[in-house]
Amino acid sequence: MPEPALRASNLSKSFGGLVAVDRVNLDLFQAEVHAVIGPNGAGKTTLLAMLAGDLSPSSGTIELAGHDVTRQSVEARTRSGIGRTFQRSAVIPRFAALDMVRLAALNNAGLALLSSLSANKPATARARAALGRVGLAERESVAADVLSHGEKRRLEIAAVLALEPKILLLDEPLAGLGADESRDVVALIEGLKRDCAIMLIEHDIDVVFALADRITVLDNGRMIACGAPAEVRVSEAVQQAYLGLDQP
Amino acid sequence: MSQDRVDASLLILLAVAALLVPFVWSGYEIKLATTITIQAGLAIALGFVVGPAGLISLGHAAFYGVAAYLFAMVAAESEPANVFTTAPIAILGAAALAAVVGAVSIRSRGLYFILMTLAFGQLGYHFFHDTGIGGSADGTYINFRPELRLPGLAISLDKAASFYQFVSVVVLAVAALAWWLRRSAFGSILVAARDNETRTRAFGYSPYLIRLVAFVISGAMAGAMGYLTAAQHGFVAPQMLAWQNSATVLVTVLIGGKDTTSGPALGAILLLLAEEVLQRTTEHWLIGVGLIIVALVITAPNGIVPYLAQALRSKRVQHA
Amino acid sequence: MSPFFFFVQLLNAVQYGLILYLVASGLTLLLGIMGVINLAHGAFYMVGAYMAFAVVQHLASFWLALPLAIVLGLALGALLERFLLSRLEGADHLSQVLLSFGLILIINEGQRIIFGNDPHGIDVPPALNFSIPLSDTFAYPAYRLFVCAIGIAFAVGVSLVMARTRIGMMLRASAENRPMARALGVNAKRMYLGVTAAGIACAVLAGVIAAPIASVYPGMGDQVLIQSFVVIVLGGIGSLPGALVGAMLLGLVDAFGKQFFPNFAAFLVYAAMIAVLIARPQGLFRGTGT
Repeated sequence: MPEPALRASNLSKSFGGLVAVDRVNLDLFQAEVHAVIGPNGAGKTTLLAMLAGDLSPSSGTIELAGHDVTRQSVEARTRSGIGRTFQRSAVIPRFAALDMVRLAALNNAGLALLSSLSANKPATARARAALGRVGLAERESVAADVLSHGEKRRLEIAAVLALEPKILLLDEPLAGLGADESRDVVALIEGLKRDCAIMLIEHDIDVVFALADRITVLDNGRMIACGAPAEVRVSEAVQQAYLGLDQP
Repeated sequence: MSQDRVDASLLILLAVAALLVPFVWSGYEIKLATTITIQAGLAIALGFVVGPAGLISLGHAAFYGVAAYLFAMVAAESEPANVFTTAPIAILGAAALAAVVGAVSIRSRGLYFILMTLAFGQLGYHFFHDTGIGGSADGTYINFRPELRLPGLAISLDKAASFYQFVSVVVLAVAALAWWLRRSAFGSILVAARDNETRTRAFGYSPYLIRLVAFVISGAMAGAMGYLTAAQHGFVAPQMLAWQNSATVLVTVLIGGKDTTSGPALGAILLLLAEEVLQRTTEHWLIGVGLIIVALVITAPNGIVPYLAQALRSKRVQHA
Repeated sequence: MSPFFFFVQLLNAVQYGLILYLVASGLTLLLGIMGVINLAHGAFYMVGAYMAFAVVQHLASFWLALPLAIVLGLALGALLERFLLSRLEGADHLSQVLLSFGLILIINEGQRIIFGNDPHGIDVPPALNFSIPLSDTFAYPAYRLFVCAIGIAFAVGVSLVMARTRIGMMLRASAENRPMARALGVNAKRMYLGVTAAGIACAVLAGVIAAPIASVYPGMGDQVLIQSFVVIVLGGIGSLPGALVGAMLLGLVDAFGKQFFPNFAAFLVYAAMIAVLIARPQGLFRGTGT
């Protein structure tokens, strides 16, 4: 079995008395979409935050290609190859779409930081390519805070793409998108699979079962099922947890 | 007209004006112009951290003052010092202090950063005022104006006109540096970190380090201005590090517009010119300045240069 | 060093600390509850002192200055909030710095226009113009004890209001967590008006009672302002009990520092302020709750 690109072992997070994530194990492999689903409050976003570096775990470890990154900062982890999107699109207001993606494409270019963003040809080329992939090529000069909700989401994905990450953490990327836009983003994620290990938090069960190679189900912070979509679909534990919610 | 265009135009205007001064003025006016130019440079230095980096420093006068004192300490008593040996010491000293202050303070957010820089500024002031180093409250004199000395060449700066030309070259260089940095990728990252720190970190940048670098550069620039002031007057005193001085510079930055390069310089120039002109009519001119400041906060909270750009833009739209 | 000398210094420390507490409480309420930096706070203190001077000169009574100070302070604070601060609603500290700086210029210059550049002294009111003997050689001025009494009365009054009244509860909630307090229905507009008025009134009153001791001169607010910032950092922004303890500490350093290590006292004070900001920004006397 190949090495996981990202391995979370026994990850837990408590806030005072509240246990948000309870001893979760998660492996992300390249060329695989690993979806994490569960009812609201199950701890999905907290889990992602720990993998991304926003929160430090109360216990457990996170390994990136074998290296322990549990205590690494967000920026260091990003440089090591993790890209993530936020539940509420995080864009830089007043930055033109192209500029924001250029910022990501710079990839900490050292002395190149002294020249202006627009003068940096390789970064600009990468940025334009990324914007093209998400269908925002024509909107490159528009300020990020003026874009529509769907466009902001796609802009964020473009920016993360420009990072050329090895691991992609997507927090509800389809939230608030229309049917057409959702289809486009799903196709995008399918295409990205080849180069990255992808963790996907998503509420749309149809999309999850269509995209995911493996699914982990969380309930109250704990893993109640993990495996191929077919197994998870018939798992009793999962049926119980989802009782009263959308039926697959 | 975009804000950048207005900003660039103003900078060019100010640069041309600066270069013309020695041909138009002499005597008292040139000395005034020297003071104004240096203060404009100090404002640009502070503006670089207040604007793009979003760091409100109420203690920048400390870097200005420390450089001045360092110069006073290394200047020989019996002959003019060499700019090329003494200025780097003063500027590096200011930069080192900025590195220490920045390293400690930049970890704190917003209000706490302001209070910490205020405290550091006071620390600097009392260091020179209370402890007896550098002449205590009385300050220290520098007996000779420094000269530009290279092997085989010595340019004296004793004449007001030559000193002014030297000052304007330095300040223009500082302005050019600030302009360049603001428009560079480094400047963009600073602004991105200011406006959405979370996203910027998720792009792999460390806001702390980036801000620290900006703070040190700004401190060095402020130090250069302190050196020039000490060279101009031949005198340094603890007052140079007082919080009132820091606050005044900050106010000029805000009046002019912290998000432009020319704004802070314009703010400093306007304030000092107002002092000069209004002083002749009434000794209570400061109350007029106070009222103008209050009016500006309410009508043009982003500063004069952005306000100007906005006004020009709407005029354009009207005519279109 | 004689114990009486020590005791006199201690009383001086407490007296100065209580005046500082009066000024700092206004500053900490403005900052803690409204998030407003008011650099002009020292200028209002000066307004109080000059007001006392004017009242003594023209009405020949120091006692009248006290209620007048409170009225003037409340009025100035209300005007400040209603016409200036409210326009900055939601604005950042930069605008507040700019605004309060403009106010400093207006107030300072206004004072010079009205009263001129010379320092003035105010006589201690005749009723309190005596000293209480502590020993054969030491006696302590009754007026200074009066100042202490006012300070203590204020501290007690304020803590009762904070602990026992609804207003106090709302103020404490807002100092702890502003957005939450608003969500719970605290009427922000009226509270801000009240807080600003009360805060400025404290500074003005402090200036009045300090005047007979400190004399009255242009720029007398500068040092008090900076020291108030130290006090609220030590005590925790928004905390009135913290401001009291912080002010006492500063009073002690001021009184004894001047006596025993004048070269380093101020330096140590600001070093301490930095240390607190680094290690315990919530203040020395607060839990780590917030």
